Formats: sequence, C-alpha cells, structure tokens
Amino acid sequence: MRRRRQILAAAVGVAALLLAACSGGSSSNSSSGGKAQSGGTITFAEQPGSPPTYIFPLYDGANSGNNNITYLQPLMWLPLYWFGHSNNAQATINYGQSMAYPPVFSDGGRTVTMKLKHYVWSNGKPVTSRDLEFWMNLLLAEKNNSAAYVPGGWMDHVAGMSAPSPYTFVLKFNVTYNQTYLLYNGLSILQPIPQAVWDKTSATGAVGNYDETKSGAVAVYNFMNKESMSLSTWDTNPLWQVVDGPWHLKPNTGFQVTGQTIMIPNKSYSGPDKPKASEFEELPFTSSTAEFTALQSGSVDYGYVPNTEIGDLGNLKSQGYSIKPWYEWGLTFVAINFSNPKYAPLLNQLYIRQAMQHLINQPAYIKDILLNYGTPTYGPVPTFPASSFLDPAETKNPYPFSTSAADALLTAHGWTVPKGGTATCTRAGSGSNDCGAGIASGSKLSIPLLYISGVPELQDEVEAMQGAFSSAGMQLKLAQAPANTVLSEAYECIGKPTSSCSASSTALSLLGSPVYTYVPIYFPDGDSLFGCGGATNAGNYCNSQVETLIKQMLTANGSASQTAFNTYQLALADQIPDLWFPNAAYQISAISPKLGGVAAQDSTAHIYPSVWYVKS
Amino acid sequence: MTRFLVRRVSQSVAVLIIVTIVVFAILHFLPGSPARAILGMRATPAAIQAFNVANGYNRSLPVQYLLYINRLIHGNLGFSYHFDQSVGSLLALDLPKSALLVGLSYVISLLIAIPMGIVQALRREKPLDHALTTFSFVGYAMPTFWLGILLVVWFSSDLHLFPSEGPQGASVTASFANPSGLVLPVATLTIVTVAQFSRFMRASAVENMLQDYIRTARAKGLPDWQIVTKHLFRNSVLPIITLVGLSLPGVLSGAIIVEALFNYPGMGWLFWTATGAHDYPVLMGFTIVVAAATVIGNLLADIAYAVADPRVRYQTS
Repeated sequence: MRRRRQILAAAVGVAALLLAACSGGSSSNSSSGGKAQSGGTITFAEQPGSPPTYIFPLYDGANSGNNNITYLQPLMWLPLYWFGHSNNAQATINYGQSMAYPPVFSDGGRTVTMKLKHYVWSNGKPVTSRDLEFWMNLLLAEKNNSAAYVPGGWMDHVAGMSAPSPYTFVLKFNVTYNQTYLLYNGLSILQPIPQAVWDKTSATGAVGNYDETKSGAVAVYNFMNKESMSLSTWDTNPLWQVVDGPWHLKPNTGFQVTGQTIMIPNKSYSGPDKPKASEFEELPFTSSTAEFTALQSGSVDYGYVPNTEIGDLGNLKSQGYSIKPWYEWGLTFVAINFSNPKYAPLLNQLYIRQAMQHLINQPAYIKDILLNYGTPTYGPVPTFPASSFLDPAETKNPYPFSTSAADALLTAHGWTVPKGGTATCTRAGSGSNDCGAGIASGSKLSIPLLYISGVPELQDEVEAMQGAFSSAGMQLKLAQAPANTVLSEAYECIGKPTSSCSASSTALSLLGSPVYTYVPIYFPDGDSLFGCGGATNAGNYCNSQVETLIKQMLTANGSASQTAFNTYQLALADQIPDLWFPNAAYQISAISPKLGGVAAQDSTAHIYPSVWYVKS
Repeated sequence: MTRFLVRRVSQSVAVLIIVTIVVFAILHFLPGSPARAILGMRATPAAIQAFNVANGYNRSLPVQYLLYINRLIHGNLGFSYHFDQSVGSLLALDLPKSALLVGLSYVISLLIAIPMGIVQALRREKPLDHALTTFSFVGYAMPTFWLGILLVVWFSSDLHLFPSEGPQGASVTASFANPSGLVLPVATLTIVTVAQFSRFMRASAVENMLQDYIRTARAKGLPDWQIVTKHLFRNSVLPIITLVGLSLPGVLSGAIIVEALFNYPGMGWLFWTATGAHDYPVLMGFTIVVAAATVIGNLLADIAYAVADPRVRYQTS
C-alpha cells in the first residue's frame, strides 16, 4: 500500500512539473514594421559552438575568431583605425568611425604621426596617446602572442615611438613601407587601451607605469591575460567596465560562460552612432539547427539560416525576415602541398595545375550547390566586395571550365588519357612536351584530396569536382576529416623541404570556405600565404617572380606599388599556387522585420548594433 | 560483503588506470596536432613551439602521461585551450546539467516503463499489449533527432506550449528557474528510454508469471494486486536494475544529439566540441569521469542486485 502511494505521489509530482512547465512555456512572435525608437533589446545569434572566449583586445591566434575580435571586443574597445562600414560591404578604412585622423607620413615614409580625436573613457578620462603607447608597449613585448604578428613584419621594424602631446602619437620605422600596406596591416592593429586602469600586475596592486619596461609590460600582459581567461568574472571585473566603445557588459549579468552576452550602452560614449537599443544580446547556440529553431520562433533578431535550409525559407520570408548573404573579405582555395615527395612532381607542373583549375566549374558550383550564395575566386584578391585592390583582369577566370582544355593540356604533355580511365604518362622527361621532371613513364594521374567533413555543400562541390576530374583522366581520391584535423594535416609540411615531408602527408586539402580572411590585417597582399616561407604558406609555394613582386608592393609607394600589386595578383591567378575555389557566404543572414538600421553586412565581419534599432 | 566491496573497488581502480592509459594513447595518435588546431593557420612556428612547450607536447608520451596523472592526483584535470577555462570548471558546469536532463528522463522513464511492462505482461497478447508494444517499437526505432524535431514543431512552433530551447544559463540552477525549457528535451529522451525499458520489463514479467512461485501464490488465494506488488514486481525488476546501473555513465556523459538540438550545452556537447577542437585535456577529463561513472554504475548495480534478490549472494572468500 505504501509503495502504491509512493508511485502515485511520484506520478503526481511529474504531472505537477509538466503543468508548471506548461504555464511558463508560451511564447509569442511579433512582426511589425515601424519607425526607429530608443530602447528595446536586439538579439544576435553567435555561430554554433563559438562563444566568446577572450575579452582582452590583445589576442593570440587561438582567440582570433569572430566570436572575440569582431562580435565582442570592438563593441567595447575601439581600434584606432576602423576598417569596414555599416552601410556597405567594403573592407576599407573608415575614418569617420576611426578614433584618429588619417596618419601623416614623413621622413620618407619611415615616420608616422597619428592625431587622436577627442574620445573619452567611460570613467570620464580622455583617451590619450599614453593609452596608445601603453598598447604598443604590451604588443611589442608580447608580439608572439599577437595573432597579427608576422615574423619579419612591421612589428620587427619599429625603431621608436613617442607621444609628443596627449593627442599625438608618433611611430618610427627603420624601413620604408607601402603606406597603404602599413595602414591596413600595421596601424589597423593599434588600439588605445585604458592605461590608467589596466597598467597593473595584479588585481590588488596599484596602477603604475609598468609597461615602460619590457619585463613590466610582460607582467601586465600576463595579468590581463589571466583576467581575460577568467570568463566567469567578466561581468563583475571592474577592469572590463572601462571602455571607449559604444557598449559595455551589463554588470553582474552581462556574461555567461556558455556565451550569452548582454551589453548595455556606454553612457559616456563619445564617438558617432550612439546606441539606440537599451540592450544588445548575443545568444550562443550548440548547433545551427538549434539556432534555426530559435530564429523561427522569433527569439533571434539577427540570425542565420543553415545551408541545408536555404531551399525552404518560405516560413521565414512570410514572417517578413530578410535573407542576405554575408561575405567575408577572404578567399577560398584548395591548398596544394608542393613538398609532398610522392605528389610534388605532379603538382609542380604548371600545366597539371592549369588542367585541374580548368576542371573546377566555379559558376556551376555557385549556382547549383551554393544556390547563388557564393562568389568566385580567381586570384589572391577577393572578387567581392569590389575594391580598388582588385585588378579588373582578375574579375575574369583565366581558366574557365573546360574538360577539353584540360584534356588538351595533358595530352600535349605526354599523357595518354583513356576514355573513362586514369591518364598515364607515356612521354617521361623534362622537355616542354614531356610529362615533367620527376614523373616516370607509366605514372598515373591520381591525387588525393582531404576536405572537411560535416559541410554538405562542400561535399557536393568536391564530388562534382571529382566527376569533372575523372572525365579528363584525373583520379581525385577523396577523404574527409574534422576541420581541425584537415587544418593540422594541411600544415604538416610547412617550412619543410620535400626530403623531410612525409609521402603520406596531404597533397590537396580543402579547409572550408572561406579558407582565409584578410581580417584583421586587411591589405590583400597574401604575403604570408604565397611568399616563400610565409607563416601561412602551408604548401611551401615559392616563386621568385612572385617574391620580387611582393617585396615591391610592400615597400614601394604610389603607382609603382599599384603596378607591382596588379602584376602580382595576375601572376598568382595564372600560376595557381593553390586551386582557386568558390567562396561561400560566411553566413546566410536572416534579419527580423522588427530590426531596423541594417543597411549592409560588413565583409570585415564587424557588427554595428549601435546603428541598429528596434522598430516601433 | 566488505571483502567483496574491497575486491570490486580495487578492480575498479585498476580498470580506471588502464582506461586512462588507453585513452591517453589513442588521443595522442589521432591525426593532426592540437597546436595548429588551436592556434589556427596564421600561427607562427615560434607560437606553435611555445604552445607545445607550454602544454608539454614536446615531451615523450610516457612523460606526458605521468605528468598528467600527477596533476590528476592533485585534482587538476587540466586547462581547455579551446574554451579558455579549466576542465574542472567546465565539468562542474556541464555535468550537473546533463545529469539533470538525462537523469530526469530516466526517472520518468522508469516510472512509466515499469508499470507499463507489468501491465503488458498481465494483458499479454491482448489489444492493450499490442498497442503498447507498437508504441514501444515506434519509440525505439525513432531517431532521437527526428523525434526531437517533431516535438519542437508540434509543441513549440504550432501549439506554443513549450520553448524550443532548453533552459539557458551557465549553471544547473538556471534549469530549475525555467523548468518549461526541460520539457521537450526530457520528453525526447524519455520516449526513447521508455520504449527500451518497457520491453525489458515486459519480458521479465512474462517470464516470472510462468514461475512456480506465482502459481503457488495464486493457489494460496492471494489477490492479483498482492501477487503483482509483492512477488511479480520485485523479481521482474531485476533486469531493470542492471540496466539502470549501466545507464549511469549515460547520465553523466550527456546526450549529444538532444543537447545540440535543444541548445542545452551539457557533457555530450562538450565532448563533441572538444573532439573537433583536439582539446585533449577536456577529452581526458570527460573520459575519466565517464569511465569512473561506468565502474561505479556497475558496482552499484551489483550491490542493488544482491539487495533486491535474496537468492543472490556473492562469494566473499
């Protein structure tokens, strides 16, 4: 009897739980047009599994994702020079949004003088050149912990700095740089941070001028890094409440370690575009499916549509959501490993790379697989958004899709292409009509490609590519792996000669789309991607002509630089250091009809919640 | 009993040590390096080297293992370089959330499946039995993600009865503050689990109904409800005890699909994300916790089995 009562009580308890749950579970959608109004909360969806992990603006490679460097930090701490725009997709300097006036170059370009506008910190103190000097001291002391550091780059050539007045900052270099390059890749990293609050080495220690010695700067960095990695204290730590941007974390409830981030307006914000909404909330998601469900239920104002759902947007569109692709300032390519001892003889042949490029049908992939949410890649400079960096000639595909052209290239170089089979080298040798150095007679044209798993459209693209390759006698052996595995496999041979690179290392690899973004170093020079020994040159591509052009475009100014830049990008487009591949949208955004002010999506991936507003 | 416990605990510790060795070796033989995976394609050789030194990856595998075990003994599960948090704090946040989600679904499943199995046994081959069997088969065959999506479409999108997301918040207390968020994820897991448990319960009850002691009880004139509650239930529930014991790891390891679907980050989601990120410290911490739960679950099941069935006595000598 007692047991029956217990079971009954448990059943009643469960029923009560369900009833209690029912009472709080209703939700409602609202969708209305209207005018801009102050107040309200804007909700923004974070990418799946990408919560913010680092709040201190001096971040390393591990923390250089959009979750930190575009969605979080710049909303609170403004860079000296702002790149990107709220009303167009251009990845260009935006002086109106910047904290400083255009830099002035002197001394043959070796001295840069920057005049700060009169911004203030949220504690009422002015933002001064001392704050910039503080940043530079930390950056140079810890450049190996900066995601923007490139060995031998501008950080290694700083000859001195000074702050002659509270609003003037001067940097001196021991080499001359292309001024646009220096602005886009060097000065873009500069970031005033509140010296009078952050220049300390412990939570209880006094603020000092520790940054003025290298050991002191390291100690300050170590302290700030430690505080930044204490995620559970972000919204209670007074350090993070001193900001110069339009937003700051809502005290005590502004951050959950799961990624839920609530920001409120900085009442002392002294820049343009003061926030209209009373709260800006970033929502974390475990999967794109979960995000899409939330989007459909109306709990996300600015979200995204999973690629698998692109064909079925009727429900969202009927609710008034606008669907817009968001492209990043970057490019996509299939990385080629020129150091793989087994495949390098094949991949070193330009005609084989040209044949492969002829078999990648970018327009068809964009239209049929990406459903027009993609842009072509023809060289190192992104074709979208249109920019002055892009030579008009690079907007055309030098290797349009053509099986016959690929076939002709192979047969002209000593390959026999059987119908439906794999091409075989029948004319070995290094003459201009032979297969090429290192390719033995009887060799088969069979190359493996490793690509990332879990991205259906990428799989469709490589399978289409495999079919096209097959029709020209090239066997593409496909394998897939998680993104991070492909990344580390693709970089296994970086910096190694062929003799010390394993034959089992990947020959071709596709790391996603886009593969590489020119953020936060915005100049699309590709120096580290395609330069000999470049930090991100996974396949060890090295071409003396390209190397000379890179040096010219990074150091020359004026028309000489532009000429070198144009020659460089066209040379790379022709040389195919990697196989150019369609660039998929970073996300297909879905924007609620109740959210106003979203004029464009910035290709630098910056977001502008202070421009957005909740419609009345 | 004490000697039995001592022996079983010793075995369990040995199993745990072996598990750590095997998992440590497997993780480190996975293709790819954590340094590149974490630092990204822009990482300089110096940064890669610094990462490997900082995390001990430049040392031999046995040395790395011993260092790990040394830290583990001192209660340090390591630091997640993907989440920028200590593994201990990640587990402390996610484990209770998964335990609540999966544990609650197990409790509800048991409350439904045990009576359901007995009722099916009592009404064997009758329409009610067939109907419940059909429900079980459908529930058992239904993929979790599909069932979850159906529940979201019906109860969240169409009827607006429950939220489509699990309770949001870093800690488990947020779940108690918003119980409505738990309904759909718990229901998804419960339906599948009920189907599984009720089949075991039905089979066990049917088998026991044919035993002599039930016939004897009937011959003695005991009413049906007493036969069921005093004799049939106690003997039929034994397989369920074993199942529950074996389910303990599941309670702690979470439910990847349900957690991903309902935006409820718990242990399952943590493991999935850490795997993709080559986050070895998290993977090791997770594995150790789940291995310990498996061992403890088995131990508890054995003890409960002995308590529930007086015929079962373990040899302690």
